[in-house]
Amino acid sequence: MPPLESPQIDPGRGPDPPGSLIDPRALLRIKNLQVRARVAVEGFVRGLHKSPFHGFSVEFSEYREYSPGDDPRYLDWRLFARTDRHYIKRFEDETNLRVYLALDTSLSMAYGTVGYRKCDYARTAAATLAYFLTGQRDAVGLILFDREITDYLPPRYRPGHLRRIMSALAREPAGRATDLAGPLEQAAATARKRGLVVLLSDLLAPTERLASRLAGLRARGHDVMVLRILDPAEIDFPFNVPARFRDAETGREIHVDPARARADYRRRFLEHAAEIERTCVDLGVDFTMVATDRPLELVLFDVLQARLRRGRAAARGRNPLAGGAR
Amino acid sequence: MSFLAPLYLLGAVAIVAPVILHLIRRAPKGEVPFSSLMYLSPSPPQLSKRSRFEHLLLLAMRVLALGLLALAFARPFLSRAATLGSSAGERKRVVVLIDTSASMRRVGAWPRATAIAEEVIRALKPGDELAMLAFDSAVRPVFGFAESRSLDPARRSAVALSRLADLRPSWRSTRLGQSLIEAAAALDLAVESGKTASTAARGIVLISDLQRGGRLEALGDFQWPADVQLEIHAVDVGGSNAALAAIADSPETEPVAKGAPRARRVLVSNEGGSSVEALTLEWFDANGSVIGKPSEVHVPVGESRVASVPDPAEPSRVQSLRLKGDSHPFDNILFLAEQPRATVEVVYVGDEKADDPAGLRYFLDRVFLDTPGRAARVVARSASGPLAWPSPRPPALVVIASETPADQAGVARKYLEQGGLVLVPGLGSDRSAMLALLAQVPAQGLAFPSARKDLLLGEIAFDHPLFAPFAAPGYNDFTKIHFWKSRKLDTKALGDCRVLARFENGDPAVVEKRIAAGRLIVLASGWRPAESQLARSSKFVPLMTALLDLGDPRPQGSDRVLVGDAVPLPEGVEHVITKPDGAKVRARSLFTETDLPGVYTDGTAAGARTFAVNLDPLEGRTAPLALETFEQYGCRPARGEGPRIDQAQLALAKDAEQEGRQKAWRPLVVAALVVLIIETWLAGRRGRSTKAALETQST
Repeated sequence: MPPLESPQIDPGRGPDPPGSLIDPRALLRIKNLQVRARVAVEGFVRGLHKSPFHGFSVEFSEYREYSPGDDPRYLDWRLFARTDRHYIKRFEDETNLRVYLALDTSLSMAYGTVGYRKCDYARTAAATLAYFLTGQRDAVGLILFDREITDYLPPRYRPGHLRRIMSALAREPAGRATDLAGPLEQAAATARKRGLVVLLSDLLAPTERLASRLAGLRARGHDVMVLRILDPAEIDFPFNVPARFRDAETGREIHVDPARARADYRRRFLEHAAEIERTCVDLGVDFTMVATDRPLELVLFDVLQARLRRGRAAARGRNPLAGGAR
Repeated sequence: MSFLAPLYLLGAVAIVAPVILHLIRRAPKGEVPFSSLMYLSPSPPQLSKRSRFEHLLLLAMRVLALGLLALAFARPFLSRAATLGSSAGERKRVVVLIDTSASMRRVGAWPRATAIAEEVIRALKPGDELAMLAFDSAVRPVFGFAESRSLDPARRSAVALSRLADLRPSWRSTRLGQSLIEAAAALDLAVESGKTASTAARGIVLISDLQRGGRLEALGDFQWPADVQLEIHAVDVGGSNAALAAIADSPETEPVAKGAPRARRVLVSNEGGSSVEALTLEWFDANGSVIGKPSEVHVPVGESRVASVPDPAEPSRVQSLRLKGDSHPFDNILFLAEQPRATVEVVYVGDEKADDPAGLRYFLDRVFLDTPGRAARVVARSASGPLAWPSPRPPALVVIASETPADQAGVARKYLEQGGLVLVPGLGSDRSAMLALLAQVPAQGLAFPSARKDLLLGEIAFDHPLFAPFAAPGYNDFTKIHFWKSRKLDTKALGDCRVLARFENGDPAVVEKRIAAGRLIVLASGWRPAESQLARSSKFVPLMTALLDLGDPRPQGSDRVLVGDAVPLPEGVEHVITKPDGAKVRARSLFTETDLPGVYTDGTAAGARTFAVNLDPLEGRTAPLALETFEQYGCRPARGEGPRIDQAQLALAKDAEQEGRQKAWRPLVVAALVVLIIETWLAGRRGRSTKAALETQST
């Protein structure tokens, strides 16, 4: 059993890529979604050898004798007082963590300039998460939505569930426009048991009602994590030839001279992103912006980080005395 | 550098367009799908804030092409006016060409024409030169350039006006095209003869009713001089005009219906612009009295109808058919001179039997077909008996088929001297004595040796009246007529004679010898079936008819003699022609003074006969020609109204002429096209590269 180490992750950006990460371009060339997810997870697990991401559950498991180098925070001082020996508390993985993977399948997700579409990336990310979390004995559920929820698989941990998730993800999305508010409201109503809601979307929609819906989820006790999947071209707007730009969702066309429109685009984009982030921070929602050229393994880090935080918060919620053991 | 149409230079303002378009950023062409337009706002093409022209080379080419086009349309030319004397433009040389054809006899036409001519003459400046030509079917000089130069201006006008006052419209037809050519030639001649005024503007002032039947076609082959301007003054008199013209020489040969009177077919045409359609046809006699009932005919405006007019009760009294109902009577009379069918005699001198198909007579009896104007009768006379004519009038043709006694030959000789026609066909046993007497040559050498050889006619004088009917290409093939027996005629022995046809070996086949007023025609072979195929060929009947016409000449188609035509008269006798106005003219073989329509009387010692002279039917076509027709024929009509040629117009005309010679617009247009082609190529290349960039950014 590897020693417990304090996480060396910057909570905002996620960890630096551990070792050799898989190029998402190569990964997305794998046709079978489950194989793709397994490859991603295996790559991630290989990178975990030096990683502290093990056993951050809230359930106490056993004591272990302290050895130099262990984090002194996990010393059980009461036991030390009684026995005069240093013991480290070990926790057991929680097996009933419910994760809702909410995946946006709207038409805007079908955009991509890096050789694959945002939806391909998001589906792979969702599949990877599902694969990994199932391996961790967590219950994984799936919500596919565009303007409303189009597919819902409740969180389960049972044989065959992962395959259902995979086949649901593998279906080519025939989505329409994005509307976050409706699906989130439906999700809040559907996912009654508390859990971690991972929202994978480009969030290319107005933010007015996003805050209230996220707050609704939070109010029901869910941990919410937002992974905003964006194509690099949507972030940088690298165009230079004047052209008619057509909206993928509405079909609306406008004449745009990128040379003149770029600054305005960037300004509005950043304003919108900042507003989303502010909303998330206010609500205690983890928000991560993921460009589709980013290695997929890092998304796992983001999610695990969120789980870690939830674990801490849950621990705090159950044990008002920090580090209290059962 | 001057411009013929400087206003077109304003077109160069269009250069602004490509400049502005280049300042405007190009409207996006391609389509780029994008996930969401929520961060984008439309940026329509606008004036580039950077004052930098995109695609400077393209812009330059577009501007250049537009500039070149504007320049070409402005019709630039290098003005050489400075080299001309300042007074040169003021001089002009004018031919006044005035129509005196029969159509100018329409009511009111002639006074108007003379008024216009007077105005033109009075408007001339002292330095100008004037010639006046009158035309109908021919051009007659009325006042010449030489005369114009020799007289002082005031006197020149007076003389020209007095000559004009003497002019009267004739009854002749119009040859407008030929007259314009001759007027242009008169101007050219004046340039050659005149020394000082070679730089003067040249113009023709045409004063005419411009009738449709004016025969403008002659202009088609004529290159109108570039510097001669045609000023047209149309004399429009209005009113309805219908015309009458003959169709057939004679009345219908058969009655229209059993018991119905015979009818004469005439063509009645009603000119465009006419207001009447119901017209009347009436027969008139020589005294101008109406005979019989009038016939109604209905002709729509602008069309013509063939009307069948029944003959009156006394057809012999008829002298004319007149049309009534229109405003202009000049073309409403059709004069008719019914010729009684003349009977002419052909005397056959010989002893062959009439029913011997191997002889000459058998065919001679049958060859002459009666025509409406003439019936031929063949009278046989024995070769040995006395030769006497069957009627007091000498026969049209005497065919001597065998040797005759000397007294008979003497009669024939006398007949020849009086203008008779004697044919000596083929070969008798020997007719040298008779031939010698007829031809007035010694008998020696006239015993022509006979030849038995298959010969064809090789050389024929188609200009002679005998062979003239065969002159057309479709009829001049004589190769089917073989001659098996012939005599080798010796033209020297016959004296002064003309060979009308030769065999293929060069021997004479048909020889004509003129004896006083008569003709002696000797054939080397005959038409007996044993001698040749002549009698059985298709050429025989027309050949013999032509021979008969030679002996009995008469005006051809007497109804179709038109004013101005020459009428051939039987030769050898003196003719006194009485014209419709009573004037008498003496003529011998050709009567040319057919200057009035009407019935002429041809009086000879043998008796009098009449023939009718009518107006040219084309004169009745009085609807005016469009002015554009003159332009189609290459003339340069001046559009200006009034007789004066405006100085500004004159300068413009000179400019146009200089520009027309230099044609600088052509290279300019070619250059503009070349620039546009290069521009298109360049723009296409740039367009392709832009398209490629769009495709890159949309993936």
